[in-house]
Amino acid sequence: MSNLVDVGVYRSDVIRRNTRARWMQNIYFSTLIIAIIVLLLLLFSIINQTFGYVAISQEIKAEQLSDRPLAELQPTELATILLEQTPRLLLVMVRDNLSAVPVDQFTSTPLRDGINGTVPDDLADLTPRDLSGDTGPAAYARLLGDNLSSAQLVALIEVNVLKVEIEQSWTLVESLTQREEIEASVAATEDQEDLVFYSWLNNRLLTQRNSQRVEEAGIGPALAGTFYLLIMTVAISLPLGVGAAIYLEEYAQESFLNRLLETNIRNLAGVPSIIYGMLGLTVFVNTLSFITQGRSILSGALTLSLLILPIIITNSREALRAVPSTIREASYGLGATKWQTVSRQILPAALPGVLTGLILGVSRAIGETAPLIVIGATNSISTFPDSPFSRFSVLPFTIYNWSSQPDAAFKNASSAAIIVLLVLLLIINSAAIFFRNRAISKRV
Amino acid sequence: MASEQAKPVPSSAVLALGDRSEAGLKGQSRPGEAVIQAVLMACGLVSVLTTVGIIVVLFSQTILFFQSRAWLAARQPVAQEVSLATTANSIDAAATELSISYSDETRVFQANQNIQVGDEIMTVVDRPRGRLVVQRAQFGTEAFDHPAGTEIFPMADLAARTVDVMTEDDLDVTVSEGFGGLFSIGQEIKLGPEVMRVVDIDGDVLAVERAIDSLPAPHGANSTVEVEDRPSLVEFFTSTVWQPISGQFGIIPLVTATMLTSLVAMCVAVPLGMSTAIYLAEYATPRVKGTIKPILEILAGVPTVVYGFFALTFITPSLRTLFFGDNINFTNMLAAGLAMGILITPLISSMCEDAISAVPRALREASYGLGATKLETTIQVVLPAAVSGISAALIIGLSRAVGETMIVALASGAGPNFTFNLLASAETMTGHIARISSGDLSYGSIDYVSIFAVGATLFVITFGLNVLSGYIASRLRERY
Repeated sequence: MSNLVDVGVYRSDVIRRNTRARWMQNIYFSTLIIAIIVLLLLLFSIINQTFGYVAISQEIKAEQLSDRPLAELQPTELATILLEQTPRLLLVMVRDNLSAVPVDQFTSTPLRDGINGTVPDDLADLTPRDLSGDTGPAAYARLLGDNLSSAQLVALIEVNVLKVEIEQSWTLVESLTQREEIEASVAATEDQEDLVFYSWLNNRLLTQRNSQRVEEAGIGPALAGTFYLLIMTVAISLPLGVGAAIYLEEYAQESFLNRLLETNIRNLAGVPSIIYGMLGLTVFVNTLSFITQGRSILSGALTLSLLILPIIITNSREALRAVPSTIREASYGLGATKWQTVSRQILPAALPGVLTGLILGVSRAIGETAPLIVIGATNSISTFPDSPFSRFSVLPFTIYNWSSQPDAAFKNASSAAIIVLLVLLLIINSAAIFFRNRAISKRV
Repeated sequence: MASEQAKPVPSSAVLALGDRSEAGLKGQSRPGEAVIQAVLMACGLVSVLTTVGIIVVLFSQTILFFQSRAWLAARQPVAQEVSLATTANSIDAAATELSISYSDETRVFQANQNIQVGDEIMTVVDRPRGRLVVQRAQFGTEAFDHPAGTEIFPMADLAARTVDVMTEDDLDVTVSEGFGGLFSIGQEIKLGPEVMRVVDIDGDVLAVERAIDSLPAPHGANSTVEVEDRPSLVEFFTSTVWQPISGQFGIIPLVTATMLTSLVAMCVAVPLGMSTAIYLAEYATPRVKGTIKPILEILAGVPTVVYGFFALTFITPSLRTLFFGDNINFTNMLAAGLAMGILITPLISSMCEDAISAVPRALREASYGLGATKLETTIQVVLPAAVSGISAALIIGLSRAVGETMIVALASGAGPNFTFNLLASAETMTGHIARISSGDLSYGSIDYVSIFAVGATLFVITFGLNVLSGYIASRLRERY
């Protein structure tokens, strides 16, 4: 009898234990759901800020300038509008958009040399100083009409003539759910505001320079700076990283020096990125300023190279290790030297893995902001980078800068810039997956 | 085969082989190969140079920081002309609380303010309604009994100034009345660009030696007298105020903010990351694994500045509407910590998953054989076996949180603030470095070197955590 009772206790205990096990499994599973929800929320919050209604005020309506929509007009017609409405500002527009020389030399340089584009023959020998009289505005209008696209001229008209200003912005959710209230609140404002459904991710954002005014602000130079920086970072870190990996995998014997190298690389991977920035600030920006010209792209690229070296070395070593030793031995057996074996047999075989490591490093570098802040990335430059020694801005820095602006509209612009950054990352990572799959299929 | 190899080789064959190898293979020296090996080794050494560089840069600049001389106006509290309140009852020398009656209704005293009651100077600690909690006998004054109705004068920190015009040859500096006690013999003082050394003090008249490492210059009346303020190690590690403008460099507020945000991050990441890891390693089918792992990789690959944006524009507003209302600051440590938790969850989960997967199947099967459920096996057998890997993962996660910059720079606040309130804004070490260095720093200024002192502290903390993690992973590991 006592046995039976025991079995009963045992059974009820099993049921309880199994229930508990099932409950915990559900809890474990729910954390996966949380991870998915968080990712969705992240994407949602970015998209939510990128699209939505904006209230736009303008001093003059476009209809008052022309009976056709501005976008359909020819460049010369648009230049005429600029000439009629803002004759005094034309010199500045020419200088900002077409000047090929530094600002302080512009007024004293003949237009033939000072202008980036075609110049009519009768103006070629004149300097802006010669044109300071009444003839100036007409001449500048011709230059603008000849050298700028319709889209650029429309942008100039919007800023300088219409004086378009974004007064208020709403998120996508607000725009969809509270449309009536938004329309009512805009209708109630004194200066006639227009309500437009606006995509902050647009052509102007991608191509224009940064500006204090959110209506004009773009990420053109920042995007160019990011590409410039990445290319230089790859050029510096790839040979160094692969070289170090080859040394550690193929040449190094078990010695104190090599153990030191390995431990060191592992520890470097754990150093906060901002510390690399401080290293770069002292060594590249200040001490080696005679080579790097201070806060230049070169300084940034050198710093980022050091930052991603551990990633490249670790991944390249794994790729080299995966090359079957039979290939090495066959090569040695044919009388090849060590370097011949490495360069003609092992490296080609390990290339996909090495490239995967490189791409992982690059995708780390592309989103890195902290070291570049310390190095001195700046948002105030208005020119595209043209040499390794120019000052620079990068996309994540622009995002940081815009996010911390008090003007709420900059947060919308910032989220549009984030989408650009994420798309870039997606492209780069797809490339990594492509190489990884190719490497796997080759091996099989 | 074996017996063939064991046969002695004819000596003539050995000789022939030896000759050929000398002629064809062995005898050639290959300088090219040696050069290549040296170049490759140099590539490896770059990483060692990086480490050496980091350590040398951080610590040499930190030493410069502690040697840097900042000149600050010599200040002392001075009672103002108008009393603000009177004592309501008499107090004895030991009391720490005053009942007061205000001359007007406004509450005018602030915490940390100095007040003068009779001949005694006190510091206000707290100010509950109608009373003042004070520290008695400050600034070298003695505690006295005070009768009811004694006037209470507020005090303001005033800078020491010169009274007379000085020419290049004057050897006496007369400072404002009552300020002579601030100076000591042998101390260096600075008037305008000129540094002087005090050789004698007579009341408020300082006899000085002129032009120490500087040029003598005339000084107008009413120039501020500055004294040297050199940051000290003790101040650095014990003061709770970080205010470079007033020469106060105490790293504690930066460290507490760093620790609080990291703690919040760990509170999010440890349960989430470990639970995800357990599910992926013990329960998930390959198909679920194939879906979830890329999602975690995406979460890990999102640039941190995007998480900062997320914390600033989504988490904080959500916390505000859902829980805290106006109590939560626009930038706060809680939102920054939560975002950081999301960031390090994938890191912790993937490292924990590796550790759990490394536990041999035999242990699990033995546990099942004894009748344990899957949960009991996981909690009581697998996790203890994987404890070294898991703790290493948690420490790496913490180290990552401590060193994370962009999230806290955006969402945690600008300006050091010594507080334990998660809803308040406070600047972390990394956030401070980022903010200070994003302005144009002049090379060698005290602001410039101060961020290196913060950076060195940060480096020591993260490096310590990384080494600890490696130590735990290698020493506590059970070998199967």
